[in-house]
Amino acid sequence: MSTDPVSPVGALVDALVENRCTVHGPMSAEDGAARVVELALERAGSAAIALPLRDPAVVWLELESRLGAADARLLHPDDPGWRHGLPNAAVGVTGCVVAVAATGNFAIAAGPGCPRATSLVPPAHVCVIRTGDVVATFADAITRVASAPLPSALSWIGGPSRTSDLEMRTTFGVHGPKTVDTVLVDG
Amino acid sequence: MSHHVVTPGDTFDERARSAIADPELQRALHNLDQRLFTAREVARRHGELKDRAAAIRREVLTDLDSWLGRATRSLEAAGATVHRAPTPEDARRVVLDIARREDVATVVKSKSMATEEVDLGDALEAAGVRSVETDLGEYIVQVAAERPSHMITPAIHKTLGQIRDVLVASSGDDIPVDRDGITDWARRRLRTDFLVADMAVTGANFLAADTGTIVLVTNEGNGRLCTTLPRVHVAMVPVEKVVPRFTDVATLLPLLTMTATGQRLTNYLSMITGPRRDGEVDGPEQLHVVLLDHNRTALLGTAYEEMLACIRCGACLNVCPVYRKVSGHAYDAVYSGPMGKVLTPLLSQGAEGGDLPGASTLCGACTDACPVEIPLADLLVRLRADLREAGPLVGARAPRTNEPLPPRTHPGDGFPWAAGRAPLATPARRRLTARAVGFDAWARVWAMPKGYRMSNTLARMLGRVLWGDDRYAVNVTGMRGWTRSRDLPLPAPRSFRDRWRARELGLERW
Repeated sequence: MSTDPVSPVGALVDALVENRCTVHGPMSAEDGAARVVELALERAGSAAIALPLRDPAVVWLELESRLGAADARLLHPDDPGWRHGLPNAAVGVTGCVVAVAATGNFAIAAGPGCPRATSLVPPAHVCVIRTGDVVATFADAITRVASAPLPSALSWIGGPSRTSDLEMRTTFGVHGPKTVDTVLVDG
Repeated sequence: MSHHVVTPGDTFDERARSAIADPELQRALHNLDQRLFTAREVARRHGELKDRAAAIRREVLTDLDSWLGRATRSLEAAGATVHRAPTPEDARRVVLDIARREDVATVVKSKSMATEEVDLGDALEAAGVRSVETDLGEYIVQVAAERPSHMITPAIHKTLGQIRDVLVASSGDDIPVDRDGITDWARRRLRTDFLVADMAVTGANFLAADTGTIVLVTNEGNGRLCTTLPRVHVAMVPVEKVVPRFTDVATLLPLLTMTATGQRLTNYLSMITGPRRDGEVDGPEQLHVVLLDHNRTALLGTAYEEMLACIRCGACLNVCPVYRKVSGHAYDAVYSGPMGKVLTPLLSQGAEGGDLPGASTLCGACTDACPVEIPLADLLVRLRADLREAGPLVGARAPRTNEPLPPRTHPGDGFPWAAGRAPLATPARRRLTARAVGFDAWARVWAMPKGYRMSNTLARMLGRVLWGDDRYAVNVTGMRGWTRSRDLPLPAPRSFRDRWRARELGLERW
């Protein structure tokens, strides 16, 4: 695992770890795809894996066929049972559009086939971060997302859901995922 | 719905006493200590970011009407419905109308000071709509039938044991006195509400005029659930939340989150541009934006306009020596702490919180902490003067004290008395009371260096007699109103001026 703080990817790794994400990689697309499958199966157990089929990372790493080959129970946004099934899914798998090295936050754009809830409702989230999408600062990331029409929802995630409302000590998993695995993939 | 009174009393003075006498509250407030230096660190390390943010906020206020028009057009182009609410009553009516039309049974709410300001939760409940706060701190406050005491950490006034007891009493569940146990329980409990709610009500941290994007900052993810699951989303947005450009959030968001909680960015940021689009399977079918005025635009063009630059980070509360001792409920107002002391009388046109500007030591810690450089201490002084006179506090853009504040380079500048015009000594239309005469005399004497020196000498002489051997005087006859709740320290045996002169003359070295 690279922790060279000079490169944006190295800085991102450090920031994600600080934000309580589990970091995997950076690694090749082949290894990254295998790692995502492994993580999703491990987190899911016998429950379903929420997989947005048209998410660019899911398409790129051919996750549908790989997970299908591993006999995983998949839940797709196009399934009529998506809305009712999602609260019982154990893990959501997504990519992201940009990641900020300085802060360890990454952004997921909603769109057709890419629901807002995939990275939010299940108790675990596995996110693929393409190293080509890593930028140095939040300002760089905002400039980048502002260069194209904004999606209906752009969700920025820093790590597991957390609260400080109990005597100002941090606890995790209050509403969103309790664990966030980030898989950094060269590309 | 009636609310439990946490710190009883009819005036700020009485409530402050109740708060200080409450050992559990004092214990809970210690948890705020970790935020004491947060704002100072941000100011030290990110001064340039602070200056840019302050400039962006002023840019909006100089032409708020145009930016609101622009924001409205952008929101509508993105498919949102925009409602203008001049008063809190209008805001409540708009939301209740939507709830009725959409046959809403349950509303989930994400923490929002604007909805507290218009008392929306109670209005929904009164109309038979179940309203559930989903921020953990707000939920705790709601089931305790109380009010939030801090705008960032609403349940800061409660200890873990008290929180657990409140949740057990409301649910009948067996909940451990354990942070993780309470968190897990809250997740299960509130998830049920998210899944059945037809409508979500949120606030907004910013509204970008060029894109019509609503920005919501949370750590828990309740803001995301609110803007993902229910089919109707209503955002209650005070008019000053507008920022000119979407890209301005690159400056404002890190500053807000660093100052509010010390985080580089909060865990979640939601940037919402219109409702769900064709082909999307979640997100609200309808997005309504309620632009709340509530006497805000009346402040434009007055010295109080500065208050509209506020980004609700809570930094001024965290550093305030008064807030840190009495907590939010002592203010008996939606907004507490230094910003609340300014905003409460302004939003109510002087009808509420008239004694709040007096509840300050004018130490200026709030001014120093403010990430958008609002001169809070100056505004408090100005309000004290304006509130002494009858009539509306701010007329139709014709305030009584509207001369611009002088440039402020060090603490004390910009205070009216710095220019030799102590506000309490202004003679115009004042009743001739002993108190007024006393303050006048004091101001006149201290305006002259010789008078100041003589008064010190006199105090030292009298001090020996009145104070005896004690270091502090309490209950000095004729001054009880002051000394009952304040220590009056014994003057030093020699003044600084005397010691300095001796040093200059080479009579002593230090």
